[in-house]
Order: sequence, then structure tokens, then C-alpha cells
Amino acid sequence: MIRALSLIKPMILLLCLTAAVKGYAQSEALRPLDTGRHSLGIFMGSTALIGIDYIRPIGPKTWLRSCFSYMDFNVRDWETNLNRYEQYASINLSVRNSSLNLLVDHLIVPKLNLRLVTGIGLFLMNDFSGSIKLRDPLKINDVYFEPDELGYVYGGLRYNLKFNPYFGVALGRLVHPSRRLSVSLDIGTFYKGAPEIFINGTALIRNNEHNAEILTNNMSGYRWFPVFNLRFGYSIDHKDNP
Amino acid sequence: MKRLQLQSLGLYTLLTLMIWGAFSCAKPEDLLEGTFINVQTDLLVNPMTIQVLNYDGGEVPKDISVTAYGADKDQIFTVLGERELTLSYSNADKNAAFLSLAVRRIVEFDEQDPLEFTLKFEAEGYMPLFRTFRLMNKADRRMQSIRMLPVGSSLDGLNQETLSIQQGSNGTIGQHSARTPSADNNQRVNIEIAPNTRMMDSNGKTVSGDVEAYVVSYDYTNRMTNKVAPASLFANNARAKSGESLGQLNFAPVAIYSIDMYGAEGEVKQFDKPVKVQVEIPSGTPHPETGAPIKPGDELEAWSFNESIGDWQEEGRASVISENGGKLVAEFEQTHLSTWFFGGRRFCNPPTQFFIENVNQPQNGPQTFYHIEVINTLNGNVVGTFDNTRFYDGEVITLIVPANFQNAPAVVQFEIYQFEGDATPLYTSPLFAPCGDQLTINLDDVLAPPPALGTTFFVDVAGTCSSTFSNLVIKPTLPIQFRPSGSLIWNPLGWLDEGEGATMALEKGAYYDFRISYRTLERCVFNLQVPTADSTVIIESSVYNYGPGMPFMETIDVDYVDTDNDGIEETVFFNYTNINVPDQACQEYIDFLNAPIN
Repeated sequence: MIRALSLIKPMILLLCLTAAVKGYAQSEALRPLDTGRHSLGIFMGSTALIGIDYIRPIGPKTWLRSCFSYMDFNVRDWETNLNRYEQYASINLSVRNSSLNLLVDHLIVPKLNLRLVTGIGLFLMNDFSGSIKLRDPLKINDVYFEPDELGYVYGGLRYNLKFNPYFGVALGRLVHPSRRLSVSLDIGTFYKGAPEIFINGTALIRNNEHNAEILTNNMSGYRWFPVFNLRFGYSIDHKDNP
Repeated sequence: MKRLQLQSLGLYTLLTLMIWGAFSCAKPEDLLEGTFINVQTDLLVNPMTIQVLNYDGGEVPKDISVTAYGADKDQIFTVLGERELTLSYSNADKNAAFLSLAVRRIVEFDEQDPLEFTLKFEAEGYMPLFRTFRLMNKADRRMQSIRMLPVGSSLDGLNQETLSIQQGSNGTIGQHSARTPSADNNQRVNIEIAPNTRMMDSNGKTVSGDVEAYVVSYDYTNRMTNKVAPASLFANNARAKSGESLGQLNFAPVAIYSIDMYGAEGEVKQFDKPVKVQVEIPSGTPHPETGAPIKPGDELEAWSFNESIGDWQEEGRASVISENGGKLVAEFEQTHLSTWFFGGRRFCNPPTQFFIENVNQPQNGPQTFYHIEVINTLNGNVVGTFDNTRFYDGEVITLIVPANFQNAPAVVQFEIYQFEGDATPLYTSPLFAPCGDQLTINLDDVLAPPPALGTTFFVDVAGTCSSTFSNLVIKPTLPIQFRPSGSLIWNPLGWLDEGEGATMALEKGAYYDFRISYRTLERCVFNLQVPTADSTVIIESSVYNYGPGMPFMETIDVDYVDTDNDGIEETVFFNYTNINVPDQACQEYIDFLNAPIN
């Protein structure tokens, strides 16, 4: 949460930028497709546990979106045997992937409400990490070994690129001509650059950090992060824009 | 309409490309290509290894059982986590067995809170042998040697008398007495058993029938006595006569003896009438409490080794009297049998410590081990021997030896030998007090390797499972023993830590035997010449094979390297890392890890 709060300053900057663009767009007075509305939205999906955005038209078929995606969470002591093993594992996960995004939506197929979306995201943390170890002591001969004595694996994946370009399409409306509420679906990908892997173990499986370099090399092609986000919008200037 | 279709086609193509970019690139199994998992073998830490030999270097008994006593006895396991302390025997070398002791990683111990335990070694037909240990450092691995002594065997340093005792319905028939023969230390032990003395085992059950008695006086001036002595001469937790705990004590024995009696119905441990014991005291022997020569009328503490707790217990005070001819005799009446001594005690906390400076041996560098003898310079007695000490740079060695008398002055010194049995020490320390002293010992010059040695051998061992488990690499942590070919006693060559180790103890071109004895892992290689140039050594596995008549061969690459470009190849790499462990071995390991919870 604290890390997410660190995004507040850039978020304010983003809103100011959006507002500046808003003034410019209104001066153009181009509203042929009932698109000239401001909208606030919330969204969720692969890049956001929850996200909020503010949308402003900047052209007859074009909107500017400033978004904050909150994607920081921890999973602690998730116990599973993966329906496969006799032993249960205890899994910890940490995801630090919150971002500020500035996107431009351009309506390309009005009949399908299909938009082309491009933009950029600022990811301050951009990493995913976790560990897995046995949940219960394990008896070997006459000793019940604690999981930490046997060792556990920990590792993660980190993207060092903080500004990630976004490409995608969106289906549905950002704003509706006659209703306040609107629904749309974003399908796209962030370009995050080559991931950096870190991995190691403790106790019996210690000294395995050499695999990090190999995995980093093997995964160097995995540079695109998929985005599937569902957005619910609310027009905030409905009456002024019939 | 057509434009819309083209637009849609373009968009769907873009979408497809983006999804492909996000999710393809490689198959999941390709992601793992080139990775391998190092698997360590040190499930528990192994702070001590004990080499068990026969007293005469002959075949060691196969039925040695080991029992742990003391406050931390429950912390002691084998390196496989077994409570039963089982020795490793080798069919290829039956003259030595090894006990690899282990403690769990989560067990902490240090100088303030040491790991304290006593081990009892016993075998059919052999004298039971107790050794008390105080481990203060998990990182310093200790090696210890003990020698099993057959009941009734004759040995330099042991003065022994055998006695046959007849018993009737009321106990012993008539009076029986036995006296050990003259000895180098002028100590003779005499026992007298009164008529009609009932003999009992440790549970109080009468042992009837004839009994064979062995009275042994231990001459601690003899080096061998330290190896075969029935008990250590210090206590982790001594007991007062009342049973009250007295804590750590070092003892200053004047005379040590044991009486063992065996009948057809079992071992005699106690009597209904006390047995009178007299021990001759050589003239001029200092009193443990005063330092003054012992004289008639003095008293000496009498202590017995309590075998049920594995520690010493105070029994009372022996009286010193003058016999005919002016001989001094300490006299005591005892009602039970075990190992006894007359002498004194000393609280020895802190014990004497040595701070080692030795540029020849960094802690994590090449390992060389030495044999140590601790000498009381007042009388030349060997008061302790220590096997296999490294003296690495920065090592702090705590010495626990019998304290000779109260407020003992600096009269003790230690000698460092390359191997046990060497005639000339490499180094003799300054004099020090047995308790509370602190000395810094600089060994830079005296332990510099001789010209024949001085080559650093780096050993790298790793086994890669073949075929099915090709990405599993086993990195062993264990000690390697060695000895010059033809020698009987194994010495530690060094420790492999996660498959890597280094030693300076080998001589190029010399022949050595090597042994790994680590619970179930038992390997011997005899008469192997240290190559003098780059070469490949092929060893046939004694454990695994690919099938009948298809032995599994192991290859060691030996590379000589001139690391400092002075024209001398002073560094040798023993590369033992391409061991293709047969699937059988890997499967055993996998099965072991996957064993169901009991």
C-alpha cells in the first residue's frame, strides 16, 4: 500500500496533464459522435486488482485516459498439495505491479465500438516474487525436520523498464450517448522489456542462484505482458452533453 | 463494407500478434533448458567424527554399540538423522570404523552454551569406553580417535591383575585379594574382598557362581592410555555424593583404576560389603589441592564414573597412610564397581584458550591436520592427546586437560606433530596453566609446509544424475580420510564443503590410501599415487554398476597449474565433477526424499 501511495505524486501530475489537454480539446469543440463527455471509471483485470481512470475527449474519435492501476498484493501461507503430492506446500507470493498509465483511445470501427489504444505506463516496482516450502515438518529417520531445515525455494521476476509502452484494442464504450453508465473491455499488452529472473534456495537446495542467469536468458523473449481489463464508466457531465 | 472488413482484418491480425507476443516465444520446457539444481547432502551438520580402532591396530569389533549420555544426548544423531548411533564399517579396511555425529541445524551451541554429552562404546568382550565431549563451535569440525580394548588384554600403560573368585551360597568363599604388578609410574592397586561378600549386578540381583575379576591401574604417563582409558578426565556435569549437580569440573587424578568382574550370570556391579582398595602413591606426588607432596594423614577425593549418567560422581575421601617401608597408600572402601580415581577437582571455567595465528592455513583455505600431545612438564606425563587439529588462522582453541593441582602454575605445554607416532614435534608451545590462561600462538614459520609438500590440491566433486535426472547435481559435504599407503591410522585429509575442498597434506608422487566413511557412504581407494603431471585417474565404483560385468567407472581429471606464473605448477585441481551417477543412485536419493511420513 505504501508503495502504491508513492504513485500519488505522478498521479497528480498525470491529472494535471489530462486537464491541460482537456482545455485544448474543448477549444476545438469537436463532438460529432456523442463522445464529448468526461467519464470516470473503475476497472479490474490482469494489470489491476482495482483501477480508476479519468477520460476526456481530445478529438472527434479520440479520448485521453489517465489511469491508476493498483496491483500490489501479497499471498501468505497459501497451502496446497497441487492435488498431486503427499506433502502440502506453503506458498508466499508478492506482486508489486501498480502503475500510472496515460492512454489514447481512437475509435476505428464505430459500428463495433472498437478502439485502438496506445499509451505508456509508469511502473515503479514492476516485480513479482514468491517462495515455496513444505508446510509441515518432515520425518526423515528419527528426526522431524522443520521446513526451514530442509530448505525452500524463493525467486521472482523483475522488469527493469519503468516506462512501458502499451498497445491494444478496446471493445465497448468509454462513454454512452444516452446513459451515464458504460462498459468496455481492454485487450492489449504492455511492452516491459526482458525480464530479470532471480532464484535461489536454502539449506539442501542452497547455491542455486546460477539458474537465475540461465532463466533470464531463456525468458528474454517474454517481453510482453498481457492485459485484459474490464472497465465500468460513469459520465460526469451527462446533462451538459445530451 | 469492404473497408470495414479490411480494418477488422488488420485489427484482428494486430490482436493476434499481440497475444502471440505475450504468450509464445518458447515452450515451458525450453524455459528450463540449461538449468540444473544443486542438491546438498548436509541434512544435519557434522561437528564431530570419531575413528574407532582396535588397541593393537587389528580388526575392530563389528558389534560396537554407542550410547549417548548427558544433558544434550538427545541432540546427537547420525548424519542421516538416526537416533541409534551406528558406526560405518568397511569390508575393504576392517581395522577402522567411523562414527559421524550430527546435530540439527537449528540447534545452537557456543562457548557459553556448549553441547555436552558422553558416548559409551561397548562391544562383546571389550572394555566399555566412555568419552565426554563439549562442543563449542558448529563450524569447527572435530576428529577424535579411540581404541577399543579387549577385556583382559595386556597393554603398555595398563597394569592389570586377574583374579578368580569362588562363591558359595553366602557369597564369596574366603577372602580374596589381587594386586596389580609393578608399573612405570610406581602405582600398584590392591583390592581385598571380605568372605561372604554377596555380588550383585547393576539391578541388585545376585550374581552367583564363579566370577572373573580384572583389576587395572591406568598409567596416564603412557600415550596409549589416553586412547584406551575407560573415561575422560573431565566432567560436563559432575555430581556430588548426594547427587547434587556440580557442573563442569576438570580433575587432577593421582591414581586411576578400574575393577571389572564378570560371572556366568552377568557383570558384577555392586556388593553387600565394601571392597577395600589401596593404591600406592609415589613419593613426592603433589597433592591436588595444595601442591605440596602428599604425606600420611592427607586425604584425597575419591570419584567414580557413574555409568548410568555418563559422568563422574564424588564418593568420599580416601585416606593416605604409610605402609611398611614408608610407602604411601591411599585407602578407600567402595561398594560398587566402575572406573575410579583418587585425586582432586578443579572448577575450570574459563578453560585455557589459544588464539592461533597461522598464515599457512586460512580458515577456508587448504586444510592440514596435526596431532597434539599435552604434556605436564613437572613430571613429563602426557595429560591429553588431540587428534586432527587444524590450527587455522584465527582459530580459538579451548583446551580441556586434567588440572594438576589447585591454582596450578604454568607447567603445561603442547606439542604439535604431523602424524601420531612421529618422533619429533613440529612445534612446542610455551608453558601455560591448565585453566584460565590465554595465549596467542604464532605458527607462521613452524607450520610452513616442508619443501616436499606445499602443493595446494583443490578438489571439486559433483555427481550429475544421468538420463532421467540429468539436471540434478549432488554436491557432497563430508570428510575425506587419508593415510600414507602402508599406514594403519586414518587422518583427515580435509572436508568437502558443497563438493569443494582443498588440502596441502599430499606430496606429489607419493602413494596414499583414501577413505570416505560417512554412515552408509563407505568408499576406500588404496595405494593411489598422486600424479605428478596432468593426468586422468579412473576408479571403478565399488557400489554401483550398469549391470552384470558392466562396472561403473569414475574419472578424475588432474590438472597442474602454475597459478603465479613462476614456472612451478604449485596448484593442482582434482576435478571430479563429471561423475555420471547411475540412475540407481539418483532413484535411491529421490525415493529417500519422497519417503512417506511415518
